[in-house]
Amino acid sequence: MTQLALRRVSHVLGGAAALQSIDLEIASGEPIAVMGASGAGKSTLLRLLAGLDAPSQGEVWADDRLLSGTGRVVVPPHERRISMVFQDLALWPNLSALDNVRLGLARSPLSKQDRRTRALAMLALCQIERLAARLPATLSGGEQQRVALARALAPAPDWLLLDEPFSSLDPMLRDQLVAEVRGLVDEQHATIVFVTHELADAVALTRCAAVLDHGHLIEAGSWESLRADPKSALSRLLAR
Amino acid sequence: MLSCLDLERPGRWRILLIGAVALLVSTPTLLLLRRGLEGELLGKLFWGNALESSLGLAAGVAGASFLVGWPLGSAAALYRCPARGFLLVLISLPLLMPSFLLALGWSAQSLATGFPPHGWLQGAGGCLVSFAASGLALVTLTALAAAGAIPENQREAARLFGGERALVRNTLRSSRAPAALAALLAGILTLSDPAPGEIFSQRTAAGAILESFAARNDLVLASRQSAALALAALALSLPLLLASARGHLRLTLAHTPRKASLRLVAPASAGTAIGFLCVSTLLMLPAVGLALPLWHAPSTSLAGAFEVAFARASDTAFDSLGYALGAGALAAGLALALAAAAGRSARLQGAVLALSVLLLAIPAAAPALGLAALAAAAPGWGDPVLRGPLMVVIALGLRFLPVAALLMLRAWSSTAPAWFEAAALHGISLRAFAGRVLLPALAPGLLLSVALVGLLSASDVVAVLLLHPPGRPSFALSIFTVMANAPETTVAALCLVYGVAAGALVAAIAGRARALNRT
Repeated sequence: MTQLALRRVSHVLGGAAALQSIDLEIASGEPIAVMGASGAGKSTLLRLLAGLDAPSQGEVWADDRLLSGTGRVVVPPHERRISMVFQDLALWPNLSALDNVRLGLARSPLSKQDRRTRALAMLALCQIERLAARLPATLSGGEQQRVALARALAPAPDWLLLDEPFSSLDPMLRDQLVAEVRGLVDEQHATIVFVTHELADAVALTRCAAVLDHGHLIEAGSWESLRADPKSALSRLLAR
Repeated sequence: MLSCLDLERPGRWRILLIGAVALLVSTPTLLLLRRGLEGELLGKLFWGNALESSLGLAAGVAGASFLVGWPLGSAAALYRCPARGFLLVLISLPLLMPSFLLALGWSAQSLATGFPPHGWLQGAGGCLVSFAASGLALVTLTALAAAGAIPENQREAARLFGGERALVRNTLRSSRAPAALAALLAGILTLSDPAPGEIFSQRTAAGAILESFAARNDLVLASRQSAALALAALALSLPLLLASARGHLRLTLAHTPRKASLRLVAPASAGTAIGFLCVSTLLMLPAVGLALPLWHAPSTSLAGAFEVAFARASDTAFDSLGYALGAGALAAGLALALAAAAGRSARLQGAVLALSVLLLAIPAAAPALGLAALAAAAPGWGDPVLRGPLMVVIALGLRFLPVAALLMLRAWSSTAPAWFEAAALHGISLRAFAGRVLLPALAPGLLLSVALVGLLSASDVVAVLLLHPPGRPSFALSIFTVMANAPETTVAALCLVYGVAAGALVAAIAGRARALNRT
């Protein structure tokens, strides 16, 4: 996939409009931050890209392949070559770190032994190989983030969706993880779609941004273009 | 075929599944109602004053349970006191014990302490204290759950606003409605239990049904009486049904993300401890009463009594365990289906709660007699199923399904939606996800459901009496049937063996559930 596109996408959640007529194209190799205040519709946009929800109106495309249409998911989530790190990480609590990653390879054509090797390699890549046998509840917040990242990267996705995964971490650990994630994702040739409201993290991890406000797309483009011609409070902050 | 994601999405399958389970569990009662309503309903019930007496008892039990259980449970949710956990377990025990054991204990205790044979602790008074024990436990635990669901920050806000008094006032206000509903339920549950009435020679509606079926062999009359009692119970349970549908009870089942800490406030903690001690002492009296005949008996008759008790226990162990575990497994399976179908929808959770209340309100004899009527009408080739132990398992499983349903709703709400979504993104099949993640996460709830339903089934005498194949009673039923004629020491030994066996089963299952929770 070289491009993900949202075409006139609107979405209603609990009777209220979460997204309204969004047109957005995300190019492969161009990591993008989706920014905005709480309730702006950032996570909803991510869920529509992942196929976890179908848009109330509009379409989601990958190149010339329709992924979701109005009210229906055409291509199920696991066939989109998309992985996601959830805000609460969504680690399966009764499985060890290794098993979390290994079960994440359920659809992989690899043999059982190769899956284990791949899972261990991913844990090693995220520098937590020594924690393979530990249950998530026994890991620190940062270690859990790494397990979630290893699980997301294990199937070698084209796109990696990050839904505010660093929001619960202290600033120092967050900076360290952001730097590590950038290296890891580059190494795996995945493109990041990063939902956050932390400007510094967004700038460090991506090359461009889309700014949402109350479900509307206010502006989108490279950081340079947003800085040059700011249309939202967020990009004005960036310009300063 | 459902996917992991379907379990987190709305869908028509949810309503269909809940409807199918509701239809399945209510079919026996509907059959009975149809049969009962075919004849002249009110003219030929042969109640005498049984229904009035039952309704009076129900009102007394509801009132007494509420007056003691509401403040006690609310205080236990706020204040720390010595041996709180132990005392809570102690006052919960009557919920798991056959009511006839409590009644027997009270009867023996009152006679041993010199109460006149026809005094207030016999007859209706004896029935009231026997029933009130489990009613009190139900109301106390409900008030505890409702008051315990108030988050820490709200408690602190109440304390800042008006001190300890404001906190207590607000807590009592929050737990009042659930406690009152639990008291109503406790009252309704007494309508279907014939045992204390039989022991204290008090004519009750449930006793009249049992008499019609077992003594008069009149299935039609028993059906008509059951149908009438079921209608009365349903009318009484209307407030509960409405409350469930509105979600009042759902709040009591909700998981509190951060448990509020209990405070040690000298007068309040002491008051809570004294309340618990008084109630648990009162609840221990029947146990002492049960053991008294053993205390006074000569050693030769003691040995003989225990020989008989062990022989009865071993003769009935296989069937008792089979009925209990079968009913537990059936109820837990159906409850899992109900919890999955209700998911995180407040509306559907309310529907499952309403169904649970409805099932609890229906007298135990009603579905059992419905199944008996089904067996009587079915062709001969169905006998191995319809007249075998499986019918007992089905009747008990359906009877106690509400207990399992409440536990499974709670267990399901402890899972996170993102677990299912992550599984869907990684293409994990529902079967693999259920086997590796979901069922292990729900295992403590499932195990507890099997255990509680099993224990309640083991202590049931109504469904087993009405449906058991000849020569295959449960241990509880065999105690119930011999208690009137057997020597006191034999009955006491039987009760003791029953108590030890049930306690061992509870301890084993609680230990396993704790181990599962730790992992």
